[in-house]
Amino acid sequence: MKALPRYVVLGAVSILMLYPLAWLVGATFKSNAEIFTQIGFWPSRLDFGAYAKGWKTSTEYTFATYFLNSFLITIPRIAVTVVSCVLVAYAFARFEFWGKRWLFGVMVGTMMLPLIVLRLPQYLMFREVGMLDTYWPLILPSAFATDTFFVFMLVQFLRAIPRDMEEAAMIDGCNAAQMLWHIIVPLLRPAIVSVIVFQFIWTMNDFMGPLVFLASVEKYPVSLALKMSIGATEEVEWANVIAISVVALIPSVAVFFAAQKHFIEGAAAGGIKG
Amino acid sequence: MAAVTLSRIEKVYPNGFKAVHGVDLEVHDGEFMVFVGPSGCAKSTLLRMIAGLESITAGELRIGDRVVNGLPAKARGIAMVFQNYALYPHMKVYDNLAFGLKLAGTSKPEVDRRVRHAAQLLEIEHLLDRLPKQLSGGQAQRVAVGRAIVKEPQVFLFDEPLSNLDAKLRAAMRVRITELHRTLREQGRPATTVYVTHDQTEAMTMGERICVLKEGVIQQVDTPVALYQRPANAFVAGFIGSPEMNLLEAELVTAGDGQAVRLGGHVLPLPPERAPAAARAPGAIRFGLRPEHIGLTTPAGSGALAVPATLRFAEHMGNEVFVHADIGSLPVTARVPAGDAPALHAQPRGSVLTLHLQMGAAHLFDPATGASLA
Repeated sequence: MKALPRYVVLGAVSILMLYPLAWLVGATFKSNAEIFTQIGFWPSRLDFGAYAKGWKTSTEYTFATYFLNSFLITIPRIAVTVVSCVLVAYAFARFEFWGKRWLFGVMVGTMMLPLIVLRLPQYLMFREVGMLDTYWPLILPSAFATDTFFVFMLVQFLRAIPRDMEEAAMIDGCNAAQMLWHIIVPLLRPAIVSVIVFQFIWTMNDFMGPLVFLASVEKYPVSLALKMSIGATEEVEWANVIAISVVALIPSVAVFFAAQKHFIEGAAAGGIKG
Repeated sequence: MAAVTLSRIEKVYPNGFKAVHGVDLEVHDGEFMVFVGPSGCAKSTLLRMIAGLESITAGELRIGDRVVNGLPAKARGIAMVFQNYALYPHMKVYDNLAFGLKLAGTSKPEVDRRVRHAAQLLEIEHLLDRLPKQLSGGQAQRVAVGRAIVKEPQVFLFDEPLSNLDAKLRAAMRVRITELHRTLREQGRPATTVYVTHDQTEAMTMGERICVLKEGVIQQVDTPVALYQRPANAFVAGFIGSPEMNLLEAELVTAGDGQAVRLGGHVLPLPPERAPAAARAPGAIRFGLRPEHIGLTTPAGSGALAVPATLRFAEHMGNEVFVHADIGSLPVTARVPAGDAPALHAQPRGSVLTLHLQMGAAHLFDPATGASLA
């Protein structure tokens, strides 16, 4: 009985937080007039027409193309991010080298840099090498551990792991590479899952990157296609736009729930609240 | 198996702190050597230098007839058991044991044979399919020992392996590790062992020889019995034995044709064999007497001297009683059989007792250097 007020408060707050999401789903079944006049989320009819229309889009491509494009960017980017960030974090956390403290400071400093200031020099650089309107500018920078937040998170996670296991592995005969593969990577698994989840969600949601580097509609990811569906015709069927937004949320939500157990473990151990 | 020889080994950290000051020591082939000392005495540092986990600043380290200063840990022929087990959490017990052998390219049947043999020796066969997190502390420690055994190393290194276990389990593991050492010797595979602990009970019960360290300097290396009976200095005398030896400020005086100590206002003649070996002028001295050599009665022929003391309190241990009392202003502890002190706990603080000091077991130390004068 003592817990009752606590549950009431928690319940009320969670309804408050989730209401926009519920409204979003409800709105997909409404007409424009209903959307702008009703505060309630419960639709008067259940009609999946908005999903079908939204999926088709007003362009010659369906959202299947845009989802595929998103994955073509996201999956390689995650792969190179994990490899590069783990390598760099391993070096920072476990090796002594000249200028280590200074370099780590510089790296953490770049976290403060707004991404947008990098876009112009990056654009010029990728134009020089002829990579505009390809996915390379969206993937390649991550192969050099430029997502310093992940490096920082992995370093903090590694620092919290006692070194005994690595010393035992050293005596067992591991060299640095074997140590990384057999010992460090398995120990880092929860943190690596966090990197995957964050990078997945951030890349799926990235709007500015594709907008700057991609010109052909057939190469657009979901984030750009969504924006396009708003501006393409004069009279916007909001239900269609909202319906496809809901669909666009599914991969990120699915990835989060699939990885939830490891993700929360990693976020907690890394000192970052999820 | 091989001997481990340390010659003038030094360790200076990058910040200039000198942790180990020119250690000379030989651990004989097949010997069980214990490094003991309070925390910060560099015993673990010394072990880690033997293991190759810590660099050697100066001096020469030999394992067998090879100088190993520059060799990486894996090439030294050692195996180490860590304080918190250091098992690989993502591998099953079997793979934890087999990992080093697999890396070394040992054939699969041979890996399997060695793992099963070690598991049998340590009675962990039923645990081979478990993950480390499914093991109790004692089981995890046995697996850690097993991981050392399968490598069939030239030298076993133990870094405070029992300090994370509760008292009961610690006592059991102590016996088990000692037995294991004996078993390997009987099987014709004597295991040179260096065992680090801060616990003098572990050192006394397990070591064939003990190396007592303080602040990076060896105080004494000898058998447990010799350390107990003939401590080289006041530090060793105080560190070995429990409860620890009474070390009291006293004065060396001449009494008749012999020597005596003046202790808390009482003059106690020394038996000739306990007087300082070299002629020494009367003056300040540290007088040492173990609690078991102070009694409430006089054992026949012990040459004990009766001294009045005031009771502070008594700790009843079941079969014996630790009596804490003051001789003059000097606090002493006596360890007496429970039968000698039936009503002691009923006596109020400050009541007067007679303590019987067995002067034949007394130790005298230099008050400045702490060196034994016997």
